[in-house]
Amino acid sequence: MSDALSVPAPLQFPANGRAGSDVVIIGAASSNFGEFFHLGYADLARRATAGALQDAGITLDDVDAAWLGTAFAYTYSDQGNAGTSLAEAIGMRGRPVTRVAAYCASGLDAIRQATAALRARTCDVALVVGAEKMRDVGPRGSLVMQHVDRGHPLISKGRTAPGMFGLVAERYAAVYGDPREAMTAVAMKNHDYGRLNPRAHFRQSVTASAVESAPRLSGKIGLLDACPTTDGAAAVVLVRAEDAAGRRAAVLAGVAMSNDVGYFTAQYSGHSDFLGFESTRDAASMAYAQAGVTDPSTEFDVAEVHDCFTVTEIVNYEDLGFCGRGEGRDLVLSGHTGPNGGLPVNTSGGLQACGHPIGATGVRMVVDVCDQLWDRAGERQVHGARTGVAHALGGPGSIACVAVIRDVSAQATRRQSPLAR
Amino acid sequence: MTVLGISKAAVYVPHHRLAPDTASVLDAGADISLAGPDEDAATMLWEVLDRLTELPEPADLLVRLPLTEPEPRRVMALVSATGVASPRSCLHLAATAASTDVLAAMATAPGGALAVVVDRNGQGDPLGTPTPEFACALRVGEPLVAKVESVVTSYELTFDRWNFADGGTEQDRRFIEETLVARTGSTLLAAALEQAGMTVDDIHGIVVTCGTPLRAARLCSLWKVKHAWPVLSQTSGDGATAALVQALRGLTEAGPGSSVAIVDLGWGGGASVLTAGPNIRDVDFQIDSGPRQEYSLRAWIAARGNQATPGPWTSPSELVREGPDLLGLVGGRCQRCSSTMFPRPGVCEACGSSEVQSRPLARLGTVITHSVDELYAAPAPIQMVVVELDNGGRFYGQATRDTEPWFAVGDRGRLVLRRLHTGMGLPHYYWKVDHE
Repeated sequence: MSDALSVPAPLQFPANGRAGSDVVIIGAASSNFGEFFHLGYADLARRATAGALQDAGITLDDVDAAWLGTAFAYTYSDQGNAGTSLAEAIGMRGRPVTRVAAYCASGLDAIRQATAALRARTCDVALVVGAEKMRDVGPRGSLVMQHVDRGHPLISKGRTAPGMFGLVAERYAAVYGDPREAMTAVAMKNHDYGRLNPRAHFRQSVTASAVESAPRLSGKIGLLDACPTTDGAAAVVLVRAEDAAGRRAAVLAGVAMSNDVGYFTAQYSGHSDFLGFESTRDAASMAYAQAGVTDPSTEFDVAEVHDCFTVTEIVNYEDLGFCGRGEGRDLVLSGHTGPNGGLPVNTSGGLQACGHPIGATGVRMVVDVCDQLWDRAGERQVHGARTGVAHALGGPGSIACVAVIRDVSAQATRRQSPLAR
Repeated sequence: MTVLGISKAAVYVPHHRLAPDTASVLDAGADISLAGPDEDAATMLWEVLDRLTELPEPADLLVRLPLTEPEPRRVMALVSATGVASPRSCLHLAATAASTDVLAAMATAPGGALAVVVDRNGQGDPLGTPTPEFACALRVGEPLVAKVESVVTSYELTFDRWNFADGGTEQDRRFIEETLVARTGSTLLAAALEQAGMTVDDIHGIVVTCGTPLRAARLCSLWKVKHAWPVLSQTSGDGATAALVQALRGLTEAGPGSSVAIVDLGWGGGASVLTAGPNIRDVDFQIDSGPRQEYSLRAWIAARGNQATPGPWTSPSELVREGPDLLGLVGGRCQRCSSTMFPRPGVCEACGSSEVQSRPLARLGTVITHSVDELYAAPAPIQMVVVELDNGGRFYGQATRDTEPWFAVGDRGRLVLRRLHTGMGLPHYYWKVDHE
């Protein structure tokens, strides 16, 4: 956590063109991510909450509303069905706690909703926690079996999470060319970063041959092209900018969410071109407009994007405007999104290495962007990082959230990343 | 009997076969056609009706389903919902009805009636020797495919269907050949020939169904015929389709104007003489119809053994609401912007209009992407396919095959009816994608 804060010059908050105040992050923390048989849902939520409150220099009594991002309840955990699961875990009484469910974008959408509440002045200090406890059941007891056993009696049969992105990899190959080499590069890059992240689920590098010879899950998606299911929680504390005077803070310059296709019917929709996700493009467009971002290929120093599968990261680059359509492969293969590149992506290790406790992921991404902006990323630090973007993609691309985060106070130390080659 | 004409005929031959070592363990021919794990008598009946062109609308049906299909009304509901035929009436024959019983019933059916017969082996003893599985559809009308010259039936105390272990002993076979075949069979054949005004010299060959395996050579020598095609017909009701299909193939071989006899044996039996019509060679027996899939022994036992694992959760009320449109492949067409969508949405996904009208979709289309999934139906992979349908809308679902060759982007696909699962003990059917 940070040292005692000195009081810098008055903070400058760029106007975002929207009515209401800017909202800033003043505390951000995450539990370790992994498989924790000794920690339950409540334990994880408590750890993340305690860390964020301490980082913000406040107590739970200062929080007047909370939001909880948990994607699925009664699937692999009996917690997370309502805000009660957080309220009870941290002992928050007499105040509203709202559970937000938006598949894999739950955590980031919870941040968006807290931001809206702060702007509307329905609360002054918001706590947002993302949490998911997935490893109390075996891996096939969770998402795969949810689709096999539950879901629509007819049209959901045959769907798996890797399968839905396997469709993207095959279409991408048919239209632009085989993404295999680039997918491998994503896996290697993210696991290299994960190796250096003490909170990551998997902390070892992977070789190209290990990635490409791993068992196939669906189509081009192999075991090492996929994120694991993981236990974990992350938390942030948000206030309005005018209430953060004198504090180290990062402004949520833009935060948006878009719903574009159905959950069971996404692949039937004429909106799906299987080369990317309209929801990402729409959410990014709105968030960038709020933040005044006009050239996403040059204006970000660091990004956390939704790499549930390696091919997803490639199309995310294109949908987020880091490059043009069909250029995602070159972006990673050139090293541009790696440690010495112009836009390091997923310096946390991403979902690939951190793991994907679904509801926690969006909040964890914001925590990791804040770590970069506040010079706390250790060996993975991108020196001089001032502006970051977080992106989460929910369901089979039904929902996406994008958040643009700017540091307005910290002066990062110059440090060379050990991943430099 | 009045002369019975068959104006059209169709045959559905499923693609599965036994792998050589499976065939050896089961003591079965390696080339017998077998339904896939996602096929049953209902889907086979659907397939053969789909192959019969110019169906009457509405249709009078005569259906002989095997014992493995306990709910003929469910089968007819699927036929009606999927639009492959519009049944006005349906006479269900017993599962043990023989081919000549079907022909006799057709002789009293209204003109244009469709007879559909399905053979599918029983379940429960996967190590029993399987017999060929197919479906056959015949339309009553002008004798363009064939003319049924005669049908005779007799009921006799032949005491022939006891439990033959392993196909019977030599003594069993001799008993059957000397009583059922030599006496009853000969009498039936003679009566059928007399009714047809023919002699055995006019016959290209004879199909004989019986509960014990018969030897073709013995039959040829007994009845002085050129060709004999014995068909094993056990009490689960298989054999009737095999007999009809074999008779049609015999007529196709010998050409228009040739004749074939069928003799069905069992507690007496039936016999019939058929003559090939001018269009006999229009019947497609799907001899070389595309890549086959093989059952390993493990896969055969999984498919045909007693299935104790319960199917997935389901919702009958959701199915009642949505089943007709999903199984009817009814999509929606926006009246404002003309976008076509499937499943039919309440509002247009393109323009938001609520003026979305029902529109039946094409069952043919082009594959735009796919993924071979190893997780869902492990250990066998399934290929999930997205098909852009020819008249608009998209379908996303399983391909019929569980081995290569897989679909590739740009391939043509055809939606066919298959069984998806048996949740809550209720068979669920949906579309899958087959090669065009």
